[in-house]
Amino acid sequence: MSQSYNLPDPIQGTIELPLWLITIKDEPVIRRMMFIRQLGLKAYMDFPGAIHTRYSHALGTMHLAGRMSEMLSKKMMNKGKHVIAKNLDDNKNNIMAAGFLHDIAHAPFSHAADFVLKKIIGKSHEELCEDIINLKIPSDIENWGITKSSVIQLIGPKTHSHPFLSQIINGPLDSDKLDYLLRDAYHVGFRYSFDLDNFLRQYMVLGEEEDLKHCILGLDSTKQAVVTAELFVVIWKSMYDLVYLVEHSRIAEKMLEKAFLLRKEDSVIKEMFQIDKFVEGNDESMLSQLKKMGPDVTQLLAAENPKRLYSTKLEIELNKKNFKMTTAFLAELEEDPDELSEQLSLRLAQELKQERYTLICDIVKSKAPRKIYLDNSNTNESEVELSMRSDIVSALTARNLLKVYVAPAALKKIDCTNMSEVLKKLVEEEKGID
Amino acid sequence: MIKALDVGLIIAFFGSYNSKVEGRTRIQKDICILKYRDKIPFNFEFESHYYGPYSSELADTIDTLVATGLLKQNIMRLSSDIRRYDYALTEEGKEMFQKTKITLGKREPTLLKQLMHKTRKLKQMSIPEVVSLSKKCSGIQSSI
Repeated sequence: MSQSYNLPDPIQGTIELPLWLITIKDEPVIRRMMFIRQLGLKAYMDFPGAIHTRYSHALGTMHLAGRMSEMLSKKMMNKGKHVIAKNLDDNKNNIMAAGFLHDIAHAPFSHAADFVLKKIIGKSHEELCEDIINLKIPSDIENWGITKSSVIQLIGPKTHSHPFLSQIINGPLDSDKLDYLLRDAYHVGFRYSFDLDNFLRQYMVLGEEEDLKHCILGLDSTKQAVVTAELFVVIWKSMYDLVYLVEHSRIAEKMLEKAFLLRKEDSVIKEMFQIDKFVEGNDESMLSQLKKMGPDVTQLLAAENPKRLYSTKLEIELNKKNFKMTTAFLAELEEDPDELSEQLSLRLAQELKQERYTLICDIVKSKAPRKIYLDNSNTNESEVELSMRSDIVSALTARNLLKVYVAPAALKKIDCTNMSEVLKKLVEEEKGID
Repeated sequence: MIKALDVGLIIAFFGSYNSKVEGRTRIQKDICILKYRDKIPFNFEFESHYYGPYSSELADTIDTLVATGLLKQNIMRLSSDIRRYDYALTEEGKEMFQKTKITLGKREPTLLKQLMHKTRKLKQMSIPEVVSLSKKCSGIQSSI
């Protein structure tokens, strides 16, 4: 009999490693996650305690995904929905494997490199995830009733044939979010308290079991479910405002992105993002490679020396009162805000006769929470979602800020008073149908 | 992939309503019908969902139009614990609609005319009618 492992975890308590994981856990592609910090540059800039890694989050997500499957299965069984319960039981290993592998394609420094990945190899990290699972995860995993194609489907972003299963990994109430919010909060030093067990008890699968492809993951429609979900959304919102979008880290991430883009044609950088090298890379190796690439690149590495950190010189809400936005600009804002920020950065530097990336434009989108559906079987309403029941959730709306960061050496050379006028011109120039 | 034309057509949709659009469900189902039945070239991808055809791209675009001040969102309290989200063009949104009418009217006069005509027809239908029609014409069913 194979040896089983129990690991202590500050967020999830004890995590029992399933046997299939024991067969792959020592693979380099898996161990690489131990050398990528979950919050990337935030650990170097604003939150020195945030030294936790993708690996511990992967374990936490896997553990929670397994618990969710079990709890939901029992609950649906008690409600007489045996087909849904059986589907959850049959897919438990796939769901847990998807939880463990969902971030396998994250580049070092996590989200800071997402845009670079797209620019250099033309793939999102979700697409790369599919390649890594197919090519780099040993097929032995399939001896445990796990199929790689199911795991890939569960991770998304394509719609799964049974959405309630994939929403355990990728949905408004997924195990990924539940783990990273609590784990990140704990490590940055925020003592947010949240009764996870109580929340999970409110979960249910909505829909008829004769029609599994339309069943979704939702919550009971009780007051307790609504209030617990409100607390979850408030923690989500505060983590975005105080951690994920916090200023110094955000600037350092954008600077790092530009450091890569400065050398995106360099063969060393290109190779770094090819799958064989990519799965060997980690935070340390990537940083040390960049440090060798010349002073223009080094100047963009704020984690090395915070004196290099750019300053925010403009912060303006992207709305019709401040800008006459065209339909093309609005479409790009929705479709690809990172590319739009990049184009604005290049054009603003040109207009102000500055070197490339002396100024960095950054569109910061704070989103409204995703729709969380509640059970409507005892109401006359055709569709019930959390924001229809909660004043707190309905008050959270999307907001877009346009920020301009300026390099320390350029601060005295640039006329910042002129900047917003130049930006207005650039935004209004985007050719739309109007 | 969202394109400039999608934004223009959405603005024209709200402009054609000429009053608030009551509820998010209404927007989703109307646009679905316009796309699949009336062949208005919206790029929004609709998926099969618990409540019928649903497009998260469309929902996000509406959020962006609210955030940029082109649409105003009004929360109506229907009962002590149920709220409905209504949407209408703001003054800036109306201004954009007038511009869109001119530009789109020059480039795609039939498309604009058809969109406005069909939208006004849809406005007269009840919610259960548009929910049922959206499922029928898109071939996208739901669980309920």
